Amino acid sequence: MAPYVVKRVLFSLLVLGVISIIVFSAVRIIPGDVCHIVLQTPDVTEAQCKVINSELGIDQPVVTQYFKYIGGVLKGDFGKSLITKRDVFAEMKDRIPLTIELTLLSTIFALLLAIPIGVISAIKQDTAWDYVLRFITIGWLSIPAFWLGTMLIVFPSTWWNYGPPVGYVNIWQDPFKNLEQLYLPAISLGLALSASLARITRSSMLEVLRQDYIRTARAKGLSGNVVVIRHALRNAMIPVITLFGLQVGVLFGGTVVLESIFSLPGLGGLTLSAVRSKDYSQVQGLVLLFATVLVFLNLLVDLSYAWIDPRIRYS
Amino acid sequence: MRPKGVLRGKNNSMEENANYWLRRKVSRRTTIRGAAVASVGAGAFALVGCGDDDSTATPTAKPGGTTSASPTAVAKVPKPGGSLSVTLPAIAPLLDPYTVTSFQTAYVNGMSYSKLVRFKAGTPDVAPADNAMEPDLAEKLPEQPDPLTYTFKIKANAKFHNGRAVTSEDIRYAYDRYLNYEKSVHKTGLTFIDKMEMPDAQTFKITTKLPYADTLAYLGGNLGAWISPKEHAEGPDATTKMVGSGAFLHTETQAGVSLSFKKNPDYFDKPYPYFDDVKMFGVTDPAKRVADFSSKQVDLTWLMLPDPRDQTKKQRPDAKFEETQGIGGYIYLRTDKPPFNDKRVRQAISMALDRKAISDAISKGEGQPDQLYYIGYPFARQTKDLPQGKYWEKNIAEAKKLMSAAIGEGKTIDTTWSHADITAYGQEYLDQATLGQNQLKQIGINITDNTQAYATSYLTTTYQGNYEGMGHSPRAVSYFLDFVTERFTMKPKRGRINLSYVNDSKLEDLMDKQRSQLKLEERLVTIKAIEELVAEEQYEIYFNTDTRTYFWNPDLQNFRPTVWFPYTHLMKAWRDKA
Amino acid sequence: MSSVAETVQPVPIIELRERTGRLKSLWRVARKKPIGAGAGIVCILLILIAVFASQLAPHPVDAQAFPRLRAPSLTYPMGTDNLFRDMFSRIIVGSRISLGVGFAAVFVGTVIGAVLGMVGGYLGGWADLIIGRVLDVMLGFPPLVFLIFFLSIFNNQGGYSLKSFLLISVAIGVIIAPTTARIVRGAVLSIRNLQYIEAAQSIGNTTPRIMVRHVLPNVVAPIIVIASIQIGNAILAEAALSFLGLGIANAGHPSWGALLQDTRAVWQQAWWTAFMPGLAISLAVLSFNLFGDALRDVLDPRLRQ
Repeated sequence: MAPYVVKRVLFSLLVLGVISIIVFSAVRIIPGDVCHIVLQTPDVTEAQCKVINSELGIDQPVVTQYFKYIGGVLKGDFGKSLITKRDVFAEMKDRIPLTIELTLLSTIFALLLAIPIGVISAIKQDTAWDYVLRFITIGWLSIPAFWLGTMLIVFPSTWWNYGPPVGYVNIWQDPFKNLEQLYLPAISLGLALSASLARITRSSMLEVLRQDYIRTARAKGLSGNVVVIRHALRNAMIPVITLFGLQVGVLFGGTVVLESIFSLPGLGGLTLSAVRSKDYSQVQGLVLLFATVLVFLNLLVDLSYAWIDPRIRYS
Repeated sequence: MRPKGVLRGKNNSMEENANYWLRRKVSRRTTIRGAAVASVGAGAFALVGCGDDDSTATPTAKPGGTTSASPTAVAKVPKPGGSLSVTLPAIAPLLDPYTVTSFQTAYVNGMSYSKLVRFKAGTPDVAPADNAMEPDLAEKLPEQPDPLTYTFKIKANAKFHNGRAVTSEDIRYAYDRYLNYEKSVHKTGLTFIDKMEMPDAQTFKITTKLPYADTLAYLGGNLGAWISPKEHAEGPDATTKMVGSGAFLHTETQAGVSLSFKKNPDYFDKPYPYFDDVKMFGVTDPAKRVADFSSKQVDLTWLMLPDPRDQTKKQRPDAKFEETQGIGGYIYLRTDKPPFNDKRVRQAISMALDRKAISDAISKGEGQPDQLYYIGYPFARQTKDLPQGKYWEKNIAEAKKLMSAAIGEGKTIDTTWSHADITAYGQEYLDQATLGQNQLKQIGINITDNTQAYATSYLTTTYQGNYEGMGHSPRAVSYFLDFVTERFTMKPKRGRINLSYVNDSKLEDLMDKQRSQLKLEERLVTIKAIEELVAEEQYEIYFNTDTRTYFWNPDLQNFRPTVWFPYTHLMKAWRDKA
Repeated sequence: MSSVAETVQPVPIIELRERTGRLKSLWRVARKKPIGAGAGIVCILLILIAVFASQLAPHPVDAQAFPRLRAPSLTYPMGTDNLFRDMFSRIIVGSRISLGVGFAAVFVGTVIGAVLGMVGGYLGGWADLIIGRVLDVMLGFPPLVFLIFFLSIFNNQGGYSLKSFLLISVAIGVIIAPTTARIVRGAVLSIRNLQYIEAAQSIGNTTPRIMVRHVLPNVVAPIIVIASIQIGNAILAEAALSFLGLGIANAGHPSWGALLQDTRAVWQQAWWTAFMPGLAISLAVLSFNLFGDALRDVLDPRLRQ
């Protein structure tokens, strides 16, 4: 196992390196002058530009810039925002908990919905239950999250004058208020995920239920429910978890829209506003942060797969 | 200095006849309609007037808003304490008054910073567009030994939030920084100042280069006049914190989400402020802004157009509200090049627009045909009363005739129309462009729409005059009359928002003249001439204005929004609820 | 994205039969999978609507000639919007951008994904290793974050133009490609060591020739399945971009996502402005998903029973 782990970790670092090069060079071919962005005014003299360029270090060769930047990033220094001049990492650090919480809440919501649906669908395969549930879940997949999110803002307020508390409080300060602020965006974000998860739960349950050991368990006289819960579901969860690992990226992407609609201070909303205000040092930091998390998650998925299925690590 | 009362009396009588807004009955519970919105939308960028004035004027109180109309305030006992939550359309990322022009910043600056003087409007007894001034840091309005000199006495108990007393040197420092700091965005605003003197720590004396009519209005305005102390302005937190001498201490920024304020116990105007805490939330989504107020999550809303306004009224029948006249969009075009250098083409465009349909679509038909000096100025004439009023009436046949005369029978014009995307000014501004472009097809003007990203493209190209064909922005009228200079001058270089490339010596002369006319009646004659000239030439083509409404909880007392700065007097407000 | 992990499955070999036989088998499948067949018909209808949009729309898309905000009725089957326009016409014409970008993106994604998957799967070794890392790089970007990042840099001007169309399609294609690549790779692995490939190798065929003539025909089925499912995702991605104002739609060239964004301010007063474009998006995505699902069931012997 150890050589395999080392190999995978090295690959992941390599992938991160490539991503950082892509992001870094993409940001450097942006049209538009950095000093205009920094000064937020078109009347910029060349002298001012020089000062700014040397402050930002962009008068140096690109390769030097890159290594300086990466050196900084490794020490947690992502540079300063072009617009607010605040530390890029500090700006992100404040927002990480919200995005993590939102992602987790929508995952929990999705799992709570998906697993029962998937299991019922599998046990009652090809019955009316199965068809209805499959149709519903595939229907969820077709609802745009931004549409659902807006609906959840507009209609409760129209019908019942209900709206979640404005602003954002940290979960440690006031857990109830925090949850009330986050459950609507979490539902909007989690619905499509729950559909995917329900579908994969169903198909992997079907597969597991056909396996010999389940038949053995049944033959031993265990009742249907026990078999499903104790034996089948546990094994059927492996592909579900894999899929989830791959879907975290989709969730992160979804936070861009939902945090903007719900005015929440997370990484997604920050990404959108940074892109809109051309704050490329901030954008660069955000994309790298997202990429690091995703690459790390994909690594975990791969490793857990290899741990479960020894054939993989020897292939 | 002309005694205010006299002048206002005059205005009032004039308004009775002239100002549509005063004759119109408005909302059930509140007050009158104001005028001019200082900086909703484009305001921020349009407001800094008097760019290159080497001209003159005296501080006459300039005719601005409306007085009159019965205030609803009754003598009530203020109830100190409690908190207030307010909606803003966004939380400005940068808060430094010296380096940011955004109206979003200017609005919140007023919570923590002070100026020498300020507009009186902001409490129920003053109309939202009243242009009367009152002292802020100054003890009283300045003494004026001669038309060029203003002497201010600074309040002895005025202190910055860091505990240091405000001195005349701080005022000098601030004005100097606005004028000369390399990153200042208000370099042109104060150029009327010739000399600043500080005879003692409490006395501040300005000498203007030439008599300038709008001195006080500028110093009391919301851009380029806040006093931020040197130690803060040059410190590391200049852009992220506000440390001034205002009624509220800025305690926390939750980036993109909220700003928190606490009562400033040492505020120089006792017994203000009443609130212990004020929290401002940035909510970009208009639907969410309605929802937040409907569900009583906030106490005071941001401006609402008629559709959401009616929705809010339905959902919060108990709420108080104030309808202020909204802004109008306008078209600018390259008058320095064919085909728009021909005024007949511009007139034809104006006559081809169906302003009523546009109003119906975005503002439920509310609002008025707009022209240069219309919004907010009680003396201004409505478009129908102008000799050039016909250009505001839809008349396709006439427009077609003008077009054939200008470019030839059966010819068409292919051009582009540049404007910002939804992020800055909202959907209604885009709708205006969509409708307008379609209407112009009828007279053979085929438009390619060019929607630009606000910050990354529109502000740096179109709004700087780098565009071809036509452009479109929301228009805000400033709180001082000399704003026309920035719109139309070419002296010594193109005025910052002379986006139409107007180069008209007759107009330049009139602009120079009004700036140095000290008597309002005389100045108005010039202003009217400017108005008619611009109307005839259609240098800028104006849409109708819309109406915009603030809502607030019924228990919020002694508050009234103003058209140029909704929160100036929030320190005087309180809530009845315990 | 739903199908990411339901990936590596053995692929049946498509039998080439007579034309009549094919039609017959199509009918058999349709009877067995009525929902999938129905969805397939809806998909075809949607494509026809997009192709003949200008002929089908009762009014020009930008005609501002109707009463404002009318609820759906016989005259205005989907109501009118806040700018005096007929929603029905706009939704019909809107299908062009929504489906157009959807198909173009899936085409780009499928080509990239299929090539990477085939090369990686067939060659194995270093090529597979490198391609695997390329896919990891692609998967390292959250899809929507990648889209707005990519478009803010390369499509700075935006607007309705061929350039925007291509860039948006490429961007969405890139986020789609890894899924396709994984599935195709899996399919290739399952046939790589079959005898007929060995036979082809032994008579001296070049690698590219084998891949095109012998490998590709046998992975066409999974490619079609995954492509049909991903059209739905591409349509949703386009809608999200339009909603964020980064799409190519404008007043004269609507897309479903842009229709939603345009009318957002009046959703509360006029439910149909939110409902109708939403319905169009959901119907299209649902149909392509159901169709793709049915295809998979038909082509996957394990689930066919």
